This record gives sequence, structure tokens and C-alpha cells, in this order.
Amino acid sequence: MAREQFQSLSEQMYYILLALWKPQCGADISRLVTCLSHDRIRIGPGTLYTLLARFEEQQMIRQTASEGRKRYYVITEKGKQMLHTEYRRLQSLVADGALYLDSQTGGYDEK
Amino acid sequence: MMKNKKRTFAFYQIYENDALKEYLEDMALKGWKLAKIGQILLYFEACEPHPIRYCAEVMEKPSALASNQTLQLKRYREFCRDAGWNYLGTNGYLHIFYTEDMDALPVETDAKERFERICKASMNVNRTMLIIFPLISLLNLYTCYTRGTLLCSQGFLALFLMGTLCFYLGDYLLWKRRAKASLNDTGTLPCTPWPSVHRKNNTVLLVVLLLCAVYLLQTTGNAPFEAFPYILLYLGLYIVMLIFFSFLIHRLRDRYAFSTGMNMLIYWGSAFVLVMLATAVITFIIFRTI
Repeated sequence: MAREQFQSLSEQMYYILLALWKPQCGADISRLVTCLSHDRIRIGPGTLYTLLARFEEQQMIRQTASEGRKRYYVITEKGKQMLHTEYRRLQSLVADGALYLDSQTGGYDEK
Repeated sequence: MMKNKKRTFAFYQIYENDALKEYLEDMALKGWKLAKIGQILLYFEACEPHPIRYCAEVMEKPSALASNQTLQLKRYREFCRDAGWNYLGTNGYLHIFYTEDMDALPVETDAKERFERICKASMNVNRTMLIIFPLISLLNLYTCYTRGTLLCSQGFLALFLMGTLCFYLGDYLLWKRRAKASLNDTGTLPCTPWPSVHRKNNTVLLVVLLLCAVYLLQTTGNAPFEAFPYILLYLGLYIVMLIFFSFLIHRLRDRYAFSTGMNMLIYWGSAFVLVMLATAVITFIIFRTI
């Protein structure tokens, strides 16, 4: 889902931004997202177009080149910053969860 | 000789897009491939029975008057074409795509985004009804008040309009509630089978048409016999105008990249001029005859 003002990123947004670390065209982004997420996240062309247009509007990605109908996009500094923020947020979620859920850390049995 | 073309009547709401998709896929398996989509008719061509996948999607910032030739929509379609989806056409808010590639990803994979767009588009339709129907009803109810009875053609019209409004709004709200629950539970939107959707919509349409006929009989019941040709002419003119506007908006959207505002101006401007002209012509004919 499109999170308003990108205060947090949906899974699809997160993987699209990751895929754009290097310039990619639409079809490549879709393939790369499937590959990066180990087939867990799949993005349809309509959803991908909408998200790319929004990212571009918010200057989180920019167009680098166009070959015929193909357009290449890459992540911007603002996009990287957003991705880092999301990464840290996810890390803290995992860390907090680990206290209770990870049997290795011993929190599972409410010690 | 076997027919190789077929037309079917299909009246459905925006939020019944997945039911439409299922119907089209069933038709392909029966050997009928969708060739064109009209306002209320679906045009099929005969083909070898084989699976074809369809998508009926609402675009971002949905509008029934927005051009299909904007750069954004052209790019959207290019993205879909590159992923194996061919664009077939549009009917108001719904844009239809098809593919014979069974492995192609669906055009839209974000159920929540789809839900929001469908809600926006449905509310656009409901908003028009929410403004126009109560307004007409209020004017009619005022006449009822001055006459001191609801049992007149004005009262009937007010109840009929408010009933229609309540039905469509209620149906939409019920779907919305079901969709929200389904999104939370399964992450997908609910899909009612096409036969149920078709049966429900046809029944409602039949009831609405019957009530319209009753209203007309009631209003023209006291009119002199000589007035009937004029009443029919008047109604005929409005039906012609309805077809004209349906054609006009289809043409404007598909051929020209006008802004939504411009399309709105052409649409409502020509509606105003044509209604005025029709009224003037009818008045002239009536006065000349008298």
C-alpha cells in the first residue's frame, strides 16, 4: 500500500528501492525484486509503474536514461536516506521482538 | 451457420470488477474472446476455446472523464505491455487488459491500493447521485408538502430516487465492509461470482425500469390523447441525447489528450446546450400545433 508521505515503506516499496541501487528499467526491477526477496514479493506492472511514479515525484528516484520505450531509474540520496531509516526501523523491530521470540536470547519462556 | 460474433448485456458496479474478470475468463474457455467493451454491452469474437486471463483495473486518481491518452496512462500501458498484458479498452472507470501468458503477474499486485482506488471511483459515482437525487427529491417533496399529500407523482418520484440511492449506497457500503474484512483476513479483495452479480444487477435494473414506466403512466395518465406523440418525442430526444453523450465521452477519452477539466467543460457544456435546444424545439412544436 502507498504509505502517505512515505513515513514508512511497504515491502514492495522497500524492495523496489533496493533494486534501484544501480540503474534498472521496469522489467529488470520486477525481476530483481522477485530475486532479492527469494520469490516472496512479486510486483505487477501496474503497481510498479504507480510506485515508480510516486517515488519520482517525491525525488526518491530519478530517471537516468531512456532507450526507446525503456526508461532507466536509479535511487537518489533522499531515497537512500529513506531506505536507511526503514532499515534501522526494521532492525529495531527485530531486536525488540528477539527479546521475546528468539529462543537463543532466552526470552521465549518469559525468563 | 455458426455465429462468430456475440454481444452480451453486462451491467455491473466498479467494485464488481473481479466478477467481470471471471466472467470474461469463463467466456474465453467457452470460445468467446472479448473484442470490445462498451458502456453496457460486451462484444465477443469466436475463438478456439482456450484460457485467456483478464484484468479490470481502476487507475490512480480515478475519473470517468480523464483522457486515456495522457502520458501517464500511455506509460502505464507500456509497462503492462512489456509484462505481457495487452490493453483492450475502458468502460468508465475500468481499464481492461488481457494476456494469454498464464505465468504473467497480475497488473496490480497491491490489494490495499486496489481497494482504495475502487473506493475512490465508487464514491465519485455515488457522490453525483448523493447530490442530484436528494436535490430533485427535496424539490418534489416540497410540492408534496404544498399539496398536503405524498400520494402523487412527485411523492412517487422522490421515494423512487431516494430508494435507488439507498440501494446503491448500501450495496457499496456492504461491499466495502466485506472487502476490509477480507483484506485483514486474507490480504485479498472479495469476489462475488458473476451469475450472482448479473442476477442482482439485472433485477435492480428491471425494477428501476418498471418504476420509471409506472411513474410515466402516472404523470401522463391525465394527459389528453393528442399529447402522447409529444411526450414520446420528448422522451425519445432524451434517449438520443443519452446515447450521444455516451458516444461523446468515449470519443473524447480515447482520441484526445485533453485535461479532465477540459473534458468536463465539453461534456457538461454540450449537455447544457443540447438540453436547451431540445426544450426549445419541443416548445416550438407544441406552440405551433396549438
